[in-house]
Amino acid sequence: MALIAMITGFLLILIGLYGALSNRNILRMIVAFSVANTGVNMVLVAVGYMKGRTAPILDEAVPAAEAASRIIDPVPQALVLTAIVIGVGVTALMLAYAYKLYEKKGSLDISEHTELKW
Amino acid sequence: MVSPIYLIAGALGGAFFLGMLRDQWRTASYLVTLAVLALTSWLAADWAWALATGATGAVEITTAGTPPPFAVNLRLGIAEAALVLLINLTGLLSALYLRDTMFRQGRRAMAVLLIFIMALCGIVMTRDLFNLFVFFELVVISTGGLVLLSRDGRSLAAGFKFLIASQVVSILMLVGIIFAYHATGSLNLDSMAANAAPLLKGGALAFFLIFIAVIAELKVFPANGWALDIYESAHPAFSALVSAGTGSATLFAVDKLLMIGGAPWMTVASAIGIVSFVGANLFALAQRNDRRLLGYSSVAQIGLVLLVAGQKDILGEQYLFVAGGVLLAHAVGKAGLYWLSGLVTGRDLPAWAALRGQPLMLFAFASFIAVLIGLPPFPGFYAKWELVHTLAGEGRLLLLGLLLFGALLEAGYLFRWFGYAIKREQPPEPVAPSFYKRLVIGAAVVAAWALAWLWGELSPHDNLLLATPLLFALLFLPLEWLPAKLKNALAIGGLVAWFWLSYQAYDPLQLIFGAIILIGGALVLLASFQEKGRRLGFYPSAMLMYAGLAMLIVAEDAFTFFAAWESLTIGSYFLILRGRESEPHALSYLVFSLGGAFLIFAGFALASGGNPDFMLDALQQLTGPLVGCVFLLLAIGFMTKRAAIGLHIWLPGAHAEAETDVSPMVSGILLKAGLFGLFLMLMQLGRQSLWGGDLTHVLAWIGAPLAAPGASRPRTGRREALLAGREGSWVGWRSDVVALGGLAHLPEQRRQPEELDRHVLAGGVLGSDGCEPRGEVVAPAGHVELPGPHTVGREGAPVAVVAEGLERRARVAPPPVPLQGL
Repeated sequence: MALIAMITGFLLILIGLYGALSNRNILRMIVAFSVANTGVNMVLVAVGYMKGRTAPILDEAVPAAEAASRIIDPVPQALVLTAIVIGVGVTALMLAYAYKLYEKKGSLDISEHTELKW
Repeated sequence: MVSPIYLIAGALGGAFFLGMLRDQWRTASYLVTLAVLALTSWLAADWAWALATGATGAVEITTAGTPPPFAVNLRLGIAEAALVLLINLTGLLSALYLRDTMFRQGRRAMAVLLIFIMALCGIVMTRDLFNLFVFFELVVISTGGLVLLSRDGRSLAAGFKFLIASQVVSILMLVGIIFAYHATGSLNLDSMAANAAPLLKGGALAFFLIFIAVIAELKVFPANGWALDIYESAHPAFSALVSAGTGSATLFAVDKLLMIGGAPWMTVASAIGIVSFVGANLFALAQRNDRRLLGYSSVAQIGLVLLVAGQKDILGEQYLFVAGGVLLAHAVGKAGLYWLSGLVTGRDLPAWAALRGQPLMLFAFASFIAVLIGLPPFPGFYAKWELVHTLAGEGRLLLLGLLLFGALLEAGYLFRWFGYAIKREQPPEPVAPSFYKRLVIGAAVVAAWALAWLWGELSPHDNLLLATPLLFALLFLPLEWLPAKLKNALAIGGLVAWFWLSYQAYDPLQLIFGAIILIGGALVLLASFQEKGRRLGFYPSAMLMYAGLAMLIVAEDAFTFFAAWESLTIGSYFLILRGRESEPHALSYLVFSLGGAFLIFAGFALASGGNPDFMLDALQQLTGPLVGCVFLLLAIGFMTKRAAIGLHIWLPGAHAEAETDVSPMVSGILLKAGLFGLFLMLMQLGRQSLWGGDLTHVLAWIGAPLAAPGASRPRTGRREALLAGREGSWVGWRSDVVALGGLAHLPEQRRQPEELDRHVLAGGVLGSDGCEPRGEVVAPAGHVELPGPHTVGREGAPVAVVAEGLERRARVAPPPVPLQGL
């Protein structure tokens, strides 16, 4: 399961990067990066997965004394949560840029915005 | 002391507080922003002072009340404190500079600025790998916002391009981080460093991804297109922050990663650094837009610091001194130049001629350029001295050569730019009148000179800023408002007084050169009494040259000698640049002179075997195959200043265009520096050969056979050009032939200045001013009489006669004529 998740994650990263590099439409580029970010998150979760263990929530089901042997490592999940939040922020900023770029030139084609060297 | 966590919490709290204010309360919002940045700057300064004076040690901040690796921890040592102080001060000054823009954009822009500064501090202080990623992403997001402060419409595309690049970097870094965690079981950088083996074996790809991601964040050459667009199109205050703040913080992040990577990755860092330094400087040569040029220069300087980081293992205790010197010089110089660019309306390089009516801003421009290049007395000079000697000591000669080549390129395009500002036509657009911008630029100038003093104090060598001749030269800066005649009298008095105070300690060689430089200099300055007005810039330049010359002849160690050499080079460059159409000739002079200076530098470094405290006397003990190389490097360096054939290209134009009283200074005094160096070198190294050839014979051959072109083809019809050609061919080079030939035929053993009769020295030196060489050489083992007034040589070899003959023939047809006497 973890292997499938990891392979899927890497595939998504490659698809996302390919999409970002091969598309000239700004919105498509942003969507492609979102796909890649999702792939990264899947890889993070897959690496942190430990077979046969439970979620890292300490309650009646998992007493603190048994936590070390029964729960999965919570660090990768914390990383994923943080990465998702940061990804949302960057995506929002890129969308704001897309909006401003469209306002400026009336086009979402990145080749229309080449006043500086690309 | 206040906990350093408030460096993070203060800025974060300030940004949240700004969010609660009303949009209309712009003054209050701006004051809050300034207050927060002032407080964090004070906090950083307080810690930096306490750590530097030893009042406290490095402090660990555990954020969740739990030690690492169970929670994120931050650290503040002396390096971190210096960097957060730099970042916060740059942020505070940029906020002042951005006053109008901030008022226009409102509190949101101010909050983003605070987050940006906070995130940079976080990158510096954090010891957690994932936390490092988070702070990097905060820098990316806030950069995306602050790029839009610019009124330049192109900044939109630049910002979007930056975000695209950052997304790729982010993906690489996250994947690297999770696998690095998988390999080591920790995200704490210190734990990872202690347990680096599994990471660098099985998890090598993970470390590679992290390392490449952070290197990409550094924007090194050639992966830097998006960064250059930011530098070019963003507001100059923000470009200053990116160059000084983001660059410094990211470099520190690389340093932390190298702690894990160890020696193999230091080699990679060095390779990337030197490629970036040379490559970016090469590309900068072709730039015409000032901010893009500064962008390339930033990339180059960051490459240089990366190179230093890669040499951490061999620099040892000097690492912080060297890396700090280069990094702080870059930060202050680059931020200053970006801020200065905000005063100039045009974006092409000649548009900086607008600064010509602003002496203080021109002084700032010159100071920032000198800081960036690493000229004395600025920190980069001390740092490069240590770095080059360490490289030479470890036999890393390729790196040494590339480093000096890159530095020469950098000096070339920066001084070409300065030449435009001085000599090109002033554009009609005036310089921006903002008081705040001038205040910020002034603060950067003060910081540059304060760093010069500080690095001089930290250096194991003498503090150059406290050397009396240099101080005397700098004294003319605040006296610029005085009339030229008064300053001229002061300058003459200073030269004569210094000779009077020093001459009793001079040996014969120093006495002759001291008389030429100091008394001769005073005599030449008598002609300057005819000048009227204030003659702005003349006396600081001239006295800088004389200060360098005065220090040169008494230098006992290689460091002082080289510092004096560079000082006189820069002073004379400014003098030559004052001429009528002297811009290309002054640049040519500077490039040749600095190129020669770097060869001398390399020669000393090779000779010292890595000892930065190398004494000039120790050249006498030099043996082995290295001596020939050292001889060659020093000889070419000195002959460049002497304008020997092939290295003389700068001379005719510089003479032709120089001011009337500058021309004799160059001809009669400045060129003697090269001759002094050659004397010194020949006395210390004696006769040397390389690949079977006698190098002293080669030296003697260089002057006379090619005397004709200088005399017969002056570039212009001006009398000065004619005189320059005349000097170059008939007088100047003859002195080389005579002096060098004479010295080449000294006994095989090396000499001390006291062993030479002062008459032969005077003859050789003054030969270029019309005197014929004559005299005798007193050898330690006996007395060698010289047969006649035109002969100098151990066996009565008629060197001077041959030289005279060659000169005569050269007027008709270029030789080759065999030098039988040699």
